[in-house]
Amino acid sequence: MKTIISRVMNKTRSFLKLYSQDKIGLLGLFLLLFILFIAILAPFLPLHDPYSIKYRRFLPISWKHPLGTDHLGRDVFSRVIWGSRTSLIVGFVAAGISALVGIVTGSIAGYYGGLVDDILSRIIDIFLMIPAFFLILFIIAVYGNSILYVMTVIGLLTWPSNARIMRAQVLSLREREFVQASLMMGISDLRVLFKHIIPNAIHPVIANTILQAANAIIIETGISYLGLGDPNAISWGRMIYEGQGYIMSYWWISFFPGLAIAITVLSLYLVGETLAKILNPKRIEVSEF
Amino acid sequence: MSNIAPYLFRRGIQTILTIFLIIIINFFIINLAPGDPIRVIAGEFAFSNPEYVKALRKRWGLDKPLSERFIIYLINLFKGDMGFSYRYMQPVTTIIGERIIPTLLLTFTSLIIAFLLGVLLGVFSARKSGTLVDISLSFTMIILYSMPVFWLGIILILIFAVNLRLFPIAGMYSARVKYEGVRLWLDILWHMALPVATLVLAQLPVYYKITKASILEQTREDYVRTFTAYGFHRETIFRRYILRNALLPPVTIFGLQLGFVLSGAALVEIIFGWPGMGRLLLDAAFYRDYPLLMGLYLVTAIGVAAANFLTDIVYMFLDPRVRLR
Repeated sequence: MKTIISRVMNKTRSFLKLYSQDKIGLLGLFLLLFILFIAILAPFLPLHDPYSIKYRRFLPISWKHPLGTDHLGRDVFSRVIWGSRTSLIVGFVAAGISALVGIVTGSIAGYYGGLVDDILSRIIDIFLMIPAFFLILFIIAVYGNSILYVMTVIGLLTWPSNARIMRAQVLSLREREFVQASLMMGISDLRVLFKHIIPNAIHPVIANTILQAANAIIIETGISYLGLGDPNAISWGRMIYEGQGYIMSYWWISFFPGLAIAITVLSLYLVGETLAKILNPKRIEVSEF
Repeated sequence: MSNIAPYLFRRGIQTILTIFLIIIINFFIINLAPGDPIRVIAGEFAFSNPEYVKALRKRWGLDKPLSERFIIYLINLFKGDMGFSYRYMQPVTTIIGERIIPTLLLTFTSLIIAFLLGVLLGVFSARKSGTLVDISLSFTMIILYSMPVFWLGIILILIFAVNLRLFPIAGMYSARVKYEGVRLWLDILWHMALPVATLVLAQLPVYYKITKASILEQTREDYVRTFTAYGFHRETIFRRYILRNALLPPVTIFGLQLGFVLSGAALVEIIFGWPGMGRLLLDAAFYRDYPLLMGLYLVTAIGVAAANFLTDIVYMFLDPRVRLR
């Protein structure tokens, strides 16, 4: 037991060392932690009530309203802060669903191989061909636009890329000695899969999941931007949608939520890319040409 | 070359299966929706026009069990009948047919420009790897990648249409004048500029990144070292071998993007009021025009499947290894 812990510690330490050497990765991580911090603390921060309409409409940027007020007299700054909660929840829940389904499907396909793999791989191929944005719009229009639906549908449509990565990982792992040895010792398939294969194969999926969180945020803001999102949630996309009619005179209503999306996506992208780079040692970017 | 036919056959079967699955998904989304499906199919008319509802019920066979209904739906589809839009008072097939060309004009133009420009910049950056130009290019691309496309569009409108007045804010033609011939095309070109620019900027980072990474990867391959040792000129190695091999990944991405020529520009079309499929989709979703929504989804999904099939064929000729799979 002790050796396992020290081995995990060593692995973690060398991972952290590699990550801390990547300046761009660190920048992304700090940005992401900062956004997370703000999102979690939003209820305790000294902000105006994001729903309150008691202020004057279209107030420009000032000390009292750092990002001005919108067409209903709501404080844009506090809405941008509160909006981070919606976006992060959507991003992580959707990416979580996608990772879960992807890991399970990919592991089964890679581990059992043969006919099971053939069938699952065809299903993965088919899901990769579905235009996600159109289908999400379609489902929301038919079933209603609760944020829960939006998250779930995004998650259920984006899992194939995780499944593909996982399948490839499992395919190579299952031939390794320690897996073969465990199987020969009579340990059950499921136990080998969950104890030995998945923990060793999961790293590239984690990197991909973070990139998918960014993707999910972009899809949700896109839907909200069309005015088809959950009207009860404070969403950056919806803020841009509501503000764009006034953009020529009161640009701040739409501009800052967009900036917030870009910064959030950027942070996730930088972290995801750095993880992918570290967890895949084949990628060293130097060139003589 | 002997295994081309089985490969094509397998891919063809797969494409047909995909389309079939999409039709099933389409059918069940509508039929599992809460409430009477007739309300979904007829929309607002269900309340005002009992005759129409009765006719629809018969045509869609809603008094019959689900399995039989699915067969009827398939037969109707096969005849090219995707239903009738009560909002436009036209068959869905006709409405979609009118909107496809403007969408393709936008997406194909931007796809080609983004591919060429992205690959060019990627090659440039890879050859100047590590210099200030490379770093600032990479940085710009990451920023572009992080921007939501609709926000980018709004900002471009704000700068180039509202402030500088260089381009029109929205639409495909000038509304007040009726041009013909060359003038008409110039007018469309002028209206296309901003939406195409938005789409290009949104897609550029993908091609840039993959080209650059792919070239850097190729330069580390053993064959490059061997050729260098043999005394080949660096420029020759680069042009003749590295570039050729490195172009496969961006071509693959191009093929994947080709699948989204019908659906990919939806948001941009909506921002710029472009009379394409995107705008139609938004309206259909807003007014709960289900037959139109179903039709749009079906057409785009089949478009993706078909484009994937075509890409595979092209790829097969580019990379002989594919056939061995």
